[in-house]
This record gives sequence, C-alpha cells and structure tokens, in this order.
Amino acid sequence: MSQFSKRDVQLLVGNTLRIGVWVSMGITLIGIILFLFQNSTKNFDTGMLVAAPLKFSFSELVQGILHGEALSIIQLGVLVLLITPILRIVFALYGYWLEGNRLYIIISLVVLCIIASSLFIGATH
Amino acid sequence: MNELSFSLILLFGAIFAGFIGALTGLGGGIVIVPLLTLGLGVPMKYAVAASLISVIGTSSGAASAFVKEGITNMRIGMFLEIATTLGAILGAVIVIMIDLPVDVIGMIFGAVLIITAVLSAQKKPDHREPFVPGSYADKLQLHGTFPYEGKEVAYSSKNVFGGFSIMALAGFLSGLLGVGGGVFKVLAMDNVMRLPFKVSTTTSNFMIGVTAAASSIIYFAGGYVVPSIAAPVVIGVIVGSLAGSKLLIHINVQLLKRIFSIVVAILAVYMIYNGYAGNFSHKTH
Repeated sequence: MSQFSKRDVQLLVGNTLRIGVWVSMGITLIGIILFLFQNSTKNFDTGMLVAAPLKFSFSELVQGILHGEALSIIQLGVLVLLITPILRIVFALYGYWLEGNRLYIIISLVVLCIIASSLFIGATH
Repeated sequence: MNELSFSLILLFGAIFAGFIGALTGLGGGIVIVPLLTLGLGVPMKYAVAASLISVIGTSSGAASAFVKEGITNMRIGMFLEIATTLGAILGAVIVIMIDLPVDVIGMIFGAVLIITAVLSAQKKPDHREPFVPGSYADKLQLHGTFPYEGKEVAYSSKNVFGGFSIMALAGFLSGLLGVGGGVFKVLAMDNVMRLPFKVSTTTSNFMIGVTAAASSIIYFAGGYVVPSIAAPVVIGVIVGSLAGSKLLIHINVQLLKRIFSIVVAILAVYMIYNGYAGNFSHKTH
C-alpha cells in the first residue's frame, strides 16, 4: 500500500475525533443553556436519582428534540460523543480494506461486534 | 440547592478535574467520581456514567493530534481494544446488573488510586525492541515506526499475551469505576510489551475513548447518564483538560507529579474509609 493512503487514513481518523468532540460540545452547550433558562430556580435534589432509572428510549429522544426539549438536546450531544470513537473504528476498518490487510479487517470487525453486543446488553437487560 | 448553582458547582469542579487530569496525565475521572459522590451526593452509578462520558471527550480530543502526527500505533491500539472493550463491558455489567454494593466500588476505587499513584511516580522506561520474524509481534503486525528526533525509528513488541491480559484488566477497571485507566494501559504497553514510551502513551490515549464508549453504552441505555449532570461534567472536563495541556508545556511536570501523587494517596485513603463506613450508600439515598 502507498504511504499516501496511510496518511489519508490518519487524517481521516484524527479529524473524525476532533470534529466529533466539537460538535458534541456545541450541542451539549446549547442544551444545558436552554435547560438552565427553563429550570434555573427549580431545586435540584439528588434523591430524584433513584436506583432504577428510566431507560433510554430512542423514540422519546427524537420526540424530545422535535419539541426542542433541553434534556433531549443534551442527550443528543452525549450520543454524538459516544458515536465518535465508534466511527473512528469504522474509518480505520476502511483503511485496512484499502490496504488489503485481512487480519486487521477481521480484528476491527471483532471490536465493532463487541461494542454492538454492549448495545444489546444495555438495551435488553 | 437550585439547578443553576448545582450546574455551576459541577462545571467548576469538572474544569478543575480536567485541568489536574491533563497536567498529571492521569485523566479527569479520578477526581470527578470522588467529587460527585462524596462531595455532591450523586449516587455512584450516575457519577461513574457521567465520568465515563467525559473520559471519551478528553481522550478523543487529545488523540486526534497524536494520530495525525503518526505517533499513535493504530494497529496495536485496535488489537488491544479487543481486550479493553471486553473488560469494560464486564465492569459495567457488574455495576449495573450484578449490582455490586456501591461501598465496595468506592473501596476498589481507593485501592486503584493507590496503585495509580505508585505507578505514575515511577520513572518510565523507553524501549526499542528489535523485530523478530515469526514472533507473535510479527504475526499480529504489532510493530511499526514513529517520528523521533527527525527520523523514523523502528520498534516492535514483546509479551503480547501478557500485555493483552493487563489491557483486559485496564478495561474492566474503566467500566467499573468510570476512569480512563490510562496508567494501566501504559503499564501493559510500556513495561510488559516494551513499546517506546511515546508510542505507548499516545496509543493508550487513543484506546481510552473506544474502551469508555463500550461501557458507557450500557450506562447510557440503562438511563444512568442524567443530562443535567452529564452536560456540565463533559463541558467542564474538556475545557479543563484543554487548559491543562496548554499549560503543561511551560511548567515543571516532575515536581507537579510528585505533589499530585501525595494528593491522590490522600484521596485514596478517604475513598476507602468512606466505603468502609458505608457512606456511599448512606449519603446518596
């Protein structure tokens, strides 16, 4: 494989990480400012955080964002941050595919499968 | 306490944690979890979840620069991520599904802090392992070159399976305690696999994000990532660690690391004591 495409993958992975963090920060910041405008005088009580919390629901997230709800916007920001390192595995996988590096195509797929299984565990338990 | 003051306290605490984490190279997690639990009465699982999300942010931010400079070994990182992600999922499962008592988690946290303080105070070796054809390092492509003093220097690795096992432990502690576990990752790559110091630290940083993502998905899906806690923590830690890494270039790191080792040791004793006294379960509900 040429040095050129290796360099390209490095830039692609590096930029994914950087852009992901900034986009996530931006969305989260908008969300928290909106949230504080709506709730700044309300009392915060850590007792509200019960042992069995409300599970995450994707359709509620979409509904919340469409209604401009601050907490859903923050959740979106967190989700972008969560997806960033996973995207970088996908781009690295693309790089190994360009190289024709069979071993590392398999290794990246294994890591992606492990992460997919954590999504499965989280969603079903 | 109203929402605004709670958010502001969280924000400034997180800036401080990120700042100290970047200066010492230990990450923000080891300050943010004690602060949230013992300082602000946030239940342990929620504190671990918020901390993990912030760990993804700092790792990804710092890793982007090192990857572009070509110091990070993405292959070694990817291979060892098999171990760290498996470990991280096990850690999160033990916290959420097996419901390990939070006081025990607090005590483990303290013990890990002590190990972290000891390890980070030690002088780091710098290796250049020769490439051995037919070795596991060869078969698994765990070698490479990196820019050093203007030249591309070649290196390889040793004890692949020893390194892999310690990586699984590093991932486990990350998912269990909400920390990056960078000190253990560097231990695996530096002391066991004998990689060059610069390669092991940058590759460790690179891996922390994926490791934390694997476990925080479980916390996130379970509803433990509370937006009003996570937002100030994530923003604060990222801002603090950016400031810390800018300052890092201008100050005496060795002295700072020694001072911080003592602070970490005190924090460790405090965590163990509070776990033993049952304060993690009493204070928070």
